[in-house]
Amino acid sequence: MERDNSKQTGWLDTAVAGIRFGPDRKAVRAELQAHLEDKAADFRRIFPDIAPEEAEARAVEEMGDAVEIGKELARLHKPWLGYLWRASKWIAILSVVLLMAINILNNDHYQSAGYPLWGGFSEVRGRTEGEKIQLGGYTFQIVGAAYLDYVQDWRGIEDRVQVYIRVSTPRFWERINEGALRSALTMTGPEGWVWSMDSGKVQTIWEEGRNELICGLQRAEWGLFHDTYVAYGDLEWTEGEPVCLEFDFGKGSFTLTVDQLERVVME
Amino acid sequence: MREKLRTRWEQSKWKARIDRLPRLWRLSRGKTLALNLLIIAVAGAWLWGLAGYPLPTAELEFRRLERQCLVPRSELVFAATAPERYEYVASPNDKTVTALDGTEISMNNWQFVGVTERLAVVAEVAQRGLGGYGTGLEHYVRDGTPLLLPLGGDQWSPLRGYWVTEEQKPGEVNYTYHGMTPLVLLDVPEEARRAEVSLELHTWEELLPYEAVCWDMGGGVWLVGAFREDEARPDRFAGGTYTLRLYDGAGALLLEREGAVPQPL
Repeated sequence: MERDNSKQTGWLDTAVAGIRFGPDRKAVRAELQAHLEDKAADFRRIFPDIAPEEAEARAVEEMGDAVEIGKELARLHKPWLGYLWRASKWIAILSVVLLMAINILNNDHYQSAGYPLWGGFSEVRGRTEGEKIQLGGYTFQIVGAAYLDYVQDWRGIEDRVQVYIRVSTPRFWERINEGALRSALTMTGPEGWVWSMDSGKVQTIWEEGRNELICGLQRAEWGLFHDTYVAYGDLEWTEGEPVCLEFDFGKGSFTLTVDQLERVVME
Repeated sequence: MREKLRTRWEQSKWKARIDRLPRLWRLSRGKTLALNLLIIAVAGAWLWGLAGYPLPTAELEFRRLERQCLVPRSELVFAATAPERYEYVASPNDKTVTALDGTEISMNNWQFVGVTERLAVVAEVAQRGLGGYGTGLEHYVRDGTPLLLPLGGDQWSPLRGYWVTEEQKPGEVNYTYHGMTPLVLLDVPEEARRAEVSLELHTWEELLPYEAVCWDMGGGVWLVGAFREDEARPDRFAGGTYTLRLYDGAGALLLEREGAVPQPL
């Protein structure tokens, strides 16, 4: 019995020797062993008088040349795919655990380089879909325009225009530089009104102890592939008059115009 | 131990539940591999974002900043990217550049200057992960004549730089720290061998005079370090003025110019 088992064992070892990836070798060996046992059982059923050792030996002979089978199995079972599968399993688990740990420890979600992957500071007013201009891999579009009309004698707050510009790019790792956008952008309005977004003008709301931006540029909202900025201008606007945003980058210049602004009465 | 754990897993309720799962949920090895790679790509991109999307080299960071600021790709003519070697003086953010005479000059963050046909680009890039800040880029008109520009990416926050001199004494070495505010001089004629620069810059609400030391970096680029004996530092470059004199090897005056410190576009 020991000799025949060793014959079976020897045949199996030879047949799977070329399979270098451990789990595959183990699985194939188990399957071949099952085939050998089935064949031996068939022989014992067909020849009831046959000795068990002989049945197993004939089963081994029936399976064929172990060396040839081993070469074919080695050709079919590439080790690199197995190692890649195993490595990918552990790297995927590690990455997910690391992300979960960071989010739990930070007690915040979607944190990225100091601010969330998406969010907003203010709501976009006067939603619209303006013309799109592409430059340097970025798409510029006016997505909102509003005229904030404060009741004249109400706290002395200046009326102002808000124009929302969305800058999109599929390259989420290189969003537009806010400083460069400020330097490049100028708002123009009726009667020669001009303001360069490189600087800001604020109005102090004494009753509330805060400053409010009335000329300048601020981030309004953002997502993974876009940033939306709001450009403020303290110009007197009447219906039908266009407001223009002039962009002057090193790579080129263009102008976006908005004709219709939503009049928002601030009460 | 492994066999024990394996046996316990084979006999566990969880394995029995997994084995009863519909076949749909039990993917082939190839599909599992594809799904794992997708998870790794998404998680990897997320982790990269958490770290601030760092790039492997300083120059790649500069090129990205050029694209983000929508300036044309420039030819790099100056880069201070080498690590600072004076451990008692430097912070991890300090980077060094070496002049042709061997002087090592250091500044905070990576500093770059590039040129195109019509523009000069000056950029400062903070190295992520070291607590650095102050990434910015400014570009100026370039006309091919000598151009004096502030280093650092922000005219309103003058950069601080320094160089260290060593004095060998028996049994010891004395290091002397010299602070300065760095500027770069571009398009200097090849025949220039000496440069003299003096400036008047806004400091404590006054316009104060500054001396300067000039180092030839090669390729028509000179580094200028503005300083005062009282170690005062300028508040900003806007509104500042300068006088530039260039001399050839024989000491003859090649060029003399006075003007305002250029404003970025």
